[in-house]
Amino acid sequence: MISKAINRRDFIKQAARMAALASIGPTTYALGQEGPNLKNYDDLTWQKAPCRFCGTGCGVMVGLKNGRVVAIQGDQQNPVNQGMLCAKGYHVGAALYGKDRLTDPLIRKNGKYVKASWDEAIDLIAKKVMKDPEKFSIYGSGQWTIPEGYTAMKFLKGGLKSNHIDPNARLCMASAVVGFITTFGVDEPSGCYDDLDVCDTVITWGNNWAEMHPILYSRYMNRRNKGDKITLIDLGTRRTRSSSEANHYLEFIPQTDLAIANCICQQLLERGTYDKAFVEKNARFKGNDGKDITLDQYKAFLADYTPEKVAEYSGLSKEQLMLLGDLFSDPNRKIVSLWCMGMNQHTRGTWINNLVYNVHLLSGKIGKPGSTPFSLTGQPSACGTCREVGTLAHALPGGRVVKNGEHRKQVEDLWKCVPGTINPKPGFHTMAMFQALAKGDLTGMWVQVTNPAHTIPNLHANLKNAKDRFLVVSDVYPTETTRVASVILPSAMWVEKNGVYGNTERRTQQWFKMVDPPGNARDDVWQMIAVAHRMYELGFEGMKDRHGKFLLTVRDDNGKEIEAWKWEVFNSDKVNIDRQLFNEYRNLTLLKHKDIAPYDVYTKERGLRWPVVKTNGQWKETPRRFVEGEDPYVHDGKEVQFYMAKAGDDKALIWARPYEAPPEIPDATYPFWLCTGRVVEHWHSGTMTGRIKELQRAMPAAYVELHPKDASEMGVSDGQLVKITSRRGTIKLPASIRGRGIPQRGLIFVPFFDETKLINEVTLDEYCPMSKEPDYKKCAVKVEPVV
Amino acid sequence: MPVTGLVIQAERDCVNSVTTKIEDLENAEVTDVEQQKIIAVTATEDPGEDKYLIAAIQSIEGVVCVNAIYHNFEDMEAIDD
Repeated sequence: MISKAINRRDFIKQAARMAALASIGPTTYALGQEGPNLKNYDDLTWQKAPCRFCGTGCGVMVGLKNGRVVAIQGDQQNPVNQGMLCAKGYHVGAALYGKDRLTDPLIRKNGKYVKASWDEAIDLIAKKVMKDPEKFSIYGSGQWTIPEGYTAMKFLKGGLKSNHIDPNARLCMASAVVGFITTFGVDEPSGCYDDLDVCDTVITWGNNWAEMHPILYSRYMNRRNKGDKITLIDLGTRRTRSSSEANHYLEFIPQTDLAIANCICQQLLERGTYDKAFVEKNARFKGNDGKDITLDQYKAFLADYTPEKVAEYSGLSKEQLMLLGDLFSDPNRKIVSLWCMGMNQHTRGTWINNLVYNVHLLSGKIGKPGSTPFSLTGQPSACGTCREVGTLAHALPGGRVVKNGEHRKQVEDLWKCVPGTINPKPGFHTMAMFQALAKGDLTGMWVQVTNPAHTIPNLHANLKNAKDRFLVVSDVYPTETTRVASVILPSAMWVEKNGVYGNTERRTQQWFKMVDPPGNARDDVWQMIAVAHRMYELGFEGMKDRHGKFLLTVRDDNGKEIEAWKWEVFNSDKVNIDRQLFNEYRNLTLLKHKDIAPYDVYTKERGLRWPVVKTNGQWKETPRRFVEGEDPYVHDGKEVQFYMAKAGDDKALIWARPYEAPPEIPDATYPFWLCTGRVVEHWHSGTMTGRIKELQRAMPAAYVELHPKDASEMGVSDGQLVKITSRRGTIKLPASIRGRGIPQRGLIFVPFFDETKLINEVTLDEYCPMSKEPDYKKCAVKVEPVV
Repeated sequence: MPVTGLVIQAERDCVNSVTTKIEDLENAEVTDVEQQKIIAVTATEDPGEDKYLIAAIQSIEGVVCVNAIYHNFEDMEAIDD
C-alpha cells in the first residue's frame, strides 16, 4: 500500500494511484461539469487536448512541468474515452521528445543539407513558387489542424488560383466521403459513438477496431464485461485481435464484400423483412448508371446475389450469409456497422460504402439510437480538416465544390479575392499529383504533416524524379520524405502550438499551446503565411485581395490587421492566430448545416458535435444527424429527414452496385493476396511512435503474417526470412506464424509502419474510379523462403 | 522511470487471486481494490518494461481488462536514433 510520499518517485506513484482511483468514480460528466480536480494530487499543471494520433479523438490531460510535457492521463471529462487511453494515447507526450527533432530549416545544396535561417528558406520558397505557380502543389494531411488546412487551402486556391491541393486523407477516407455524398447528398456520419453504448449488435466490415480504434473497442468490451448481451460479427479476410472476442468470425475472399452486402439486401427483399414504411418515406432506388429504378427493378438486380450464388465465390457459407440476413431482418435488433480502411482502400470503395448504407436503409437501421452505419476515420482531423475545411482537389470549405460558381463566389467574397480567382477545374488528386510530379506536369510541392515517400503505393513508379523537383517538406522528424526534399522546415507539433481537430463523430476539439517547440521549429500555419507574405512583398498579384491588401491577412476582433507573418507577433501571447482563422472559417460552415460554434466556446468544452446551433442562449451539439429531436435542422414530425438529398426530396439513395472483381487477382506466378495495414503500437509511418521507446521496443520491425498451412507447405518457419515479390517490387521480411493475426489461406499481411521495410514498393496503385482512393488491401504477390 | 496508474477489472470470483498475482510481479503494486476493480501502480526503471508488465497483468487468469489511466515519464531521455 502506498501511503506516504517520501521522495519524488513515491510522490508520482501516489499521483498515479489517485488518478486511477478517480477514474473508477463517475466516469462521465455532463458538459461543463467539473470532474476530479487533478491539482489535488500532484504538482503538475494540467491542460486538455485531443490525442495526437487516430481519428477516435480521445481526450487527454497533459501534465506539464518546467516547460515540458511530463505526464498524460485519460481525460475523464471527455465523453469520447471517459478517462481511458490506448497504448499510443498514454505515450503520446513522449512523441515530442525524440532525440532527432528537426530544429532548423535545411536547404539542400550540392546534395547536402545545409542549415539556413528562416528568412533564407522563406525567401527561397516564395521565389520558387512565384516562378511556376500553376505547377506548384500542396500535399497535406488529416493531421493538419483545422486552421492549418484552411490556411493552406487559401494559399493555393486563393493565392495561386490552382486546385492542386490534396491531403493524405485521400488514401484513407475518400471512399467514405463519396459514399456519403452519393447516398445522402452530404458527407460524414449521421450516427455517433453513443450508438455503441446502446446497440445490441456490432458488425465490423474488414475492420480491426481492437487495434486501430482500441478505445471504441474498450467501450464495447466494458459493456460486455458488465453483462450486456451484444453480438459481435467480424467480417474479415484475416483473424485479428478483434476476431477473438467475436461471436462469429466470417472470413470472406477479398473484394466479395460487395456481393455479401448485396446478398443481405436480397434476403431482406425476398423475405419481405425490409422496413417498408421507412424505405417508402426515406429512400429511392438508383441504377448503377445513375438512372432512377423501381423497387422491382432493384429486386431483379439482386437476383444474382442469393445466398446460394454468393456462397459460391465469397468464402462464406450459405448459412453464414443467412445469419447476416437474419440479423438485419429482425426489426427489434439494433445494429451498428463499423468500417475503416478495409472498405475504403478498395478499388470499389465508393460502391461498398453505398452498399452498406443500402443494408441499413432497407432494414431501417439508421437514425435510431443503437442503429447506424458508422464509418471510422484513421486520422485525428481527417474529418475536421480534410472533409469539413475541404482541403481536397475538388473542394472548398463547408461542403462546397470548385465546380459550382455560386460556391466559388461565396468563398471569394469571404476571402475578398478578385472575382474569378478560384479555378473551376478540380486539381490533381493525390495519385494524379504524384504522377504529375514524376512526369514534370507539376514542378513543385509543399508537403506538410505527412510522409508520402513512405506511404504512396507503388513507390518506385510514383516517387520517380521526386528529387529533381522543388520539394518543400515541413515535418518534426527526418522521414523518407525529408530525405528527398529540397527544403526541410522544422515544425511545431501537437501541444507546441494551438490547434483544433475534428474527429470521426463530427466532434470539434480545441487545445492551447502548452510548451515551446524545440530550437527554431515553428508552426505550419506561420510557415504558410510567411511564404505568402514574402510573395506579396515581391509583388505577386495572387497574394493580393481585391483591394490590393495581403490575401492571407489575419485580423483581430476589431478588424485590425495582425502582422502574423512576423514570428514574434504570431508567437506572442497577445494574439491567438488559430482563433482568428477558425472564426473566419466558421462563416463557411452553415451552407450544408455543418455549423460550428465560435472558437471561444470550444475552449471550455471537451468538443462539440456539429451542427452546433445556439438554442436558448446555449450552444447545443447534435449527437445524431437527420434525427428529429437531436438535429435542429430536422422538421417537426419527420422522425428522420435526409435533408441534404440532392433531389431535394429528403430521400437517401439505394444504389444497385454490382460485384466487380479486383484488378489484380492471384495467379500461377503471383499466387498470394497481399494485404497491408497497421499495428496498435505504431501510428502510420512510425515517424512519431518510432521515437517512443516503449512502443518502438514493443514493435521494432515489420513482419509478414502467413497462414500456418501456407507456411508449412512452403517449409517456412516462424521468424524465417521470406521474399515477397509483386509486379512492382520486392521486399524481404521475417515470417510471423500464429502471431497477432492469422490471415486466411492464400493471403499474407504486412504492416506498413517500418521505414526500413517499405511494403509500398510492392503495393498496387489502382484506385476507386469515383473516390480516387488506392487499394492497399489486395494485390497479387509470390512468397519465397530465403535460404 | 515511467510510472503508470492502472485500473484492472477482474471477474467477480477472481479479485483476490488476481490481486495476489499482481503483487507477485516485480515493479507492480496493488494500492486499492474497489469491488471488481483493482488499482495498481507500476514503476519501471526502463521505458518499454511497463508495456510487458501490463501484458503480464492482462494475461493473469480472471483479468477482464486493463486500462492505463496515468503515465508519468518526467525523467525520460530521448530515444536513441
